[in-house]
Amino acid sequence: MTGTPSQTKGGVQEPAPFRLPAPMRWLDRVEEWMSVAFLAVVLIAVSTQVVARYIFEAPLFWGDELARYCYVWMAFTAGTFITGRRTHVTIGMFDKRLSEKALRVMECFAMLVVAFTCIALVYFSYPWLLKTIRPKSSALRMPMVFLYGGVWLAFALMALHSLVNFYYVATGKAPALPQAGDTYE
Amino acid sequence: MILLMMLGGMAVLLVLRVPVAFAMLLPSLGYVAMEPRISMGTAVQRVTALLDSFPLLAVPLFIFVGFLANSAGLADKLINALLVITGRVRGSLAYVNINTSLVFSWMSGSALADSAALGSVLLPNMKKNGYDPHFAAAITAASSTMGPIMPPSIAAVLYAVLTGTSVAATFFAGVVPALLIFTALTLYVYFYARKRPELTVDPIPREKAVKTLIAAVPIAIAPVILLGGILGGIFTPTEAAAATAMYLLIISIAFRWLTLRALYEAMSGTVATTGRVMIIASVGAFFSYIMAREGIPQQAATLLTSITENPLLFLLLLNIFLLLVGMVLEPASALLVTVPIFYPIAQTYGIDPIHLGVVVIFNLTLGLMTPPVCLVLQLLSQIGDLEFGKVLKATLPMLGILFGVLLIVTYAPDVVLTLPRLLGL
Repeated sequence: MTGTPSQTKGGVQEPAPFRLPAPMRWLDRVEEWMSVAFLAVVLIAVSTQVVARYIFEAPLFWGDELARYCYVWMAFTAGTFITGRRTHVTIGMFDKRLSEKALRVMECFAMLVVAFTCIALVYFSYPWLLKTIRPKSSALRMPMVFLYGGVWLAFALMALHSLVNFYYVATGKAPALPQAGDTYE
Repeated sequence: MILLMMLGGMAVLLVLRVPVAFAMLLPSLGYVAMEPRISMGTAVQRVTALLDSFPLLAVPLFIFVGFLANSAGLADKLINALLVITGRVRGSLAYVNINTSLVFSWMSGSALADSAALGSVLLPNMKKNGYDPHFAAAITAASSTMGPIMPPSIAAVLYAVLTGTSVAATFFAGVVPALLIFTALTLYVYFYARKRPELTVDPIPREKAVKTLIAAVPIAIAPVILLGGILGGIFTPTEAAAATAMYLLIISIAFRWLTLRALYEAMSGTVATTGRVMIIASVGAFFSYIMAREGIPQQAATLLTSITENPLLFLLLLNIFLLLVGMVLEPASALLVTVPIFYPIAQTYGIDPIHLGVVVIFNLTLGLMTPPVCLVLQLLSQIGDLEFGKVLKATLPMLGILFGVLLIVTYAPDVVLTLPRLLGL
């Protein structure tokens, strides 16, 4: 599940696999690490809730909300590194019938669409986001801007990943399709 | 008109290899731009709202249970234990294959995860013992369809949350259909093995047999916690998933089945899988919000009821439609894209939501084995280093059996609904 998205299959005389520049690889690590940390919080929060209810007979009022918010952040943080590794769910049923060049052009187009969509969402929702600073969540009393801002930031990062990937695929430095081993499941 | 543009735009973007989530998001944002009464803030809010749900938390937790079971090598231990039980019966490894899939389906809810876990252990083993490797891959694929139909099921959680039905009821509605698959495949193996006396394995020494069986006991407790907890009303499905994950985590670390490194890999695999599905789910929720706002499901329902008022014919059309969708999209994404559209239509035909759920999940799971994509078969040919065409050919008779079961499940709703009714769900 790890590794750079562009590892080539273990052939004998293949060129050195493409790697993104170091800052993008660090970003990928941090995103994965954060997403895993959110999963851990979800698991602990839900389990603690069960224990509190049955063993201490004192249900937690905040466990539910904490788990749900961490879930949102976990999914969208994962969305950022998935965009970076280019392993989003895509309909690739024509892939085998297309030439390498056609695939490259389509991938570039797709990445621009992703970047454009994310930038439009991030740019036009900014005024609304500012309005979520004051309202607070019901249990944790956390400003709602943290919940929505997390999602907003994730879309901004997806735009960044897409643009960087676009540059490397368009200039022919990265392979047309990611050779990821984790497109399943 | 707006709808046609949105659906058309989505279709074009999908064919051009734009990821499913963004192929839905861009047309939706286009709609927002043209509609002054909704702001882009609504988009962010709607996209977030779906995941902010306690029942849906079951999805990453069940995915995590699957990954844990895989990293801790539970498949291997189960297979050995079940081999001791079926022992020297002719065709025993093929039975073990089906039995392991059954036990695995009580812990994991994804056909792809199951076939990956079992295939990597069973394919080499069956080949070594004289089985046709293509048959081995085919039976692994066919039996893995029990995963998403038997509880727990990731698809069932998604369906229940999208339609507002009970997760537990949708879970247990799948039990009888999954057992039908189990029985049908077992019979198939019986007739397959009858003509092949060479399909036996060496006897296992008694001491080793006992040891193997004891090693599998802690694993067998996991489904008891999960299903028993839900049935006994001790846990909600989400809590049951967390409890099972915690249990597997504790025994895997206690018995040193899992290194910290492997645990991190299981967790990163979980978040990546969850992210892929859930981004589509959240964007899909926004997309269907727009559809509902435009009154599309009602219009489609009026159109369809003007063609036929027969619910059986509607179910047949739905089966065909879902098989087509299931051929190009994996089940979770297909479910998220299609359910909000046809669910209101099915309601006008008076189809039971829980029955519908099982039909939908069954259909989309079969899509994993039907050309042209057949993700499960591709995965297994890759694992076993087999020719895809031959694996497909070996799968065909089993696919026929599975289609037969699908027809029973579709047209005999009582097969699906009796158990949840008896359990009072």
